[in-house]
Amino acid sequence: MILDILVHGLGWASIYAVIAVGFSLIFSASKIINLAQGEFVMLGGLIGYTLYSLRIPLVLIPLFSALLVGVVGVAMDKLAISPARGASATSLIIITIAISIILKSLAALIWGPSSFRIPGFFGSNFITLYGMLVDPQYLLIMGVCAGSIVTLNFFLKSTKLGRSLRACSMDPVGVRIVGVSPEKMRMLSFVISGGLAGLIGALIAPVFYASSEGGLNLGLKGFCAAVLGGMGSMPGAIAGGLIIGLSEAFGASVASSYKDVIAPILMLIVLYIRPRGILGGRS
Amino acid sequence: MRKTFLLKWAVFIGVVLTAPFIFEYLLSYSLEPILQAGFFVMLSVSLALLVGLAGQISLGHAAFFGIGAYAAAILAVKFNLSPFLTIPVGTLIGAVAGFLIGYPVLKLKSYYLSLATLGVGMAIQEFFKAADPLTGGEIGLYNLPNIKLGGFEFSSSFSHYYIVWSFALLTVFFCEFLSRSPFGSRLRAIHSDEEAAECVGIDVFKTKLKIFIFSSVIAAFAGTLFTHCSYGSIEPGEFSVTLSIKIITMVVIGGMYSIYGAVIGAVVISLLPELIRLIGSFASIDLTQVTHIEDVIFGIVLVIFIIFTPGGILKIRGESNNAADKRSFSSLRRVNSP
Repeated sequence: MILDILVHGLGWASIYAVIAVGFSLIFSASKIINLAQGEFVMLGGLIGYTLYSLRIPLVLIPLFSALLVGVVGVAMDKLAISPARGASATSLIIITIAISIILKSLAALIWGPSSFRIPGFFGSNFITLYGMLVDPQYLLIMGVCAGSIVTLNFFLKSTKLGRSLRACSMDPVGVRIVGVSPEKMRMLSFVISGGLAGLIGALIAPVFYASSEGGLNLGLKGFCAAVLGGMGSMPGAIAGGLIIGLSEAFGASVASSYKDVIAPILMLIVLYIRPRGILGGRS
Repeated sequence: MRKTFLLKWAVFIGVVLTAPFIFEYLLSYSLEPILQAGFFVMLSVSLALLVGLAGQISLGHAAFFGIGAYAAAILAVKFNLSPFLTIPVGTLIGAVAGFLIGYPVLKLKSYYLSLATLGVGMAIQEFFKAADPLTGGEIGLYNLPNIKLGGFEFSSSFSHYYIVWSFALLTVFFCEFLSRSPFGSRLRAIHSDEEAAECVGIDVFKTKLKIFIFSSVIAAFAGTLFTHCSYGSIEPGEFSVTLSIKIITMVVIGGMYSIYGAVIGAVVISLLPELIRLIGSFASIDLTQVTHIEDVIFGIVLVIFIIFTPGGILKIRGESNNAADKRSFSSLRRVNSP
């Protein structure tokens, strides 16, 4: 029983962690909190379904989804974020919420209100792990989440491009002086976050279905995870994802109807005690 | 000054009085949209005080509307109290909630404040969904009673309209009065520079808390009226983050700093879906899609307004907090370009 909760909790935790990483990445490049992140995941799932109905091989679907949602990320940056240069942090948050409303309604116009399912990549057989049945897709999700976070971390820490991206949040004027364009870095962060969200959206569609309604909830949870761990911190995003995923799984086993209250409450407590999050830096 | 003030209000009251007749008899249209506009006016005006005047953002204003509505509905349905008790008690609960939420949250600044208020809004909506025995869960509460005075029951949409709008007018009048009072000046001082305001002897935190509670009280009061003078039912979906953003949009469209602007913003945004529906029925668009088309247009309007309102939404008349920032940026851009 505990083990079962743990596996499901970890599955959700890895999804939240990836969404939180997306939040953190855009935040570290531009101090923008992109509340449309959840809609990116939703789009990933729906685009994945369309690709599936076009008979694209299952293995390629997440990659194409990632690519297309990455393009949506660029479009969002070019059309809404870039023209609003000089707007206050709060105005930018409101813009991203507006974008999330637009994306959600457009998705509802295109795909309708129903939920879609892509078949699991390993068929519908469950595997036995320590005496319990586990959907192998779960393990794939966890693996891809962990893998993409590790890759992203490598990119941010050890490549010149990644380091320039992180530098933007520390000193936007300074990076200009050394010849890095914060605008380009912001666009890059939108591409990567969009791609990551598209990838994960297509991967979770076999287990959690894809629908135009699904994005908001995922986005808000991932956002809570990012704030909890400390906006802009990669280890923080992972820690936040783990804390929210696991406490939701254990909370749901105690009082299932209050499951969705846990994440915002945890976030509020942390915001009050430590506004910069558990692993966020000092001011 | 006095004359224009009186003239403005005469026109305002005249429009409010005649609008239902124009809608009902001239356009033979439902009164629902202009009734809802009354609630939106109360919400946007109260938020304009907090966001426009005091410069404190709240992305969870719908939560207080919901707290008022649910408090009144629970008291009316589960405890069988009359609206004459549920409305004041619901408003009082809104005040208590405003204090309990405002006290911790207002210690935060800039986007931490927006994140926290957004979190509060989410948590409270989830609570409405989850606390089933009290709030009716996802379905909400229904069979909510109308206001009865003597033998007369205010059940028609005409009577709802006049009750809601008379309180809306009172709210607008009172908020306008407040914004011109010394208290309003203190709020403006906090908006432009908190440290300077502190230096001239304004208790910044207390003043912020006061205006936060005041605007929650108005939102909760509007909520209690929504319970007794609207559809006769409430459900958690009505008090979502989307509603909070809609209220912000009304304030943004109204130009942030003016109470009358917030009124106009509220009316425009609440009539926008009807306009789309109207065009939709001419262009024979599938009417089930209207809410989605409405939301797309609404999102685009919001983005456009924020982009083209100079300095974003939290600044006084184009005077931006990060003017220095911008200057250094533009000078750098000059250096960069050949």
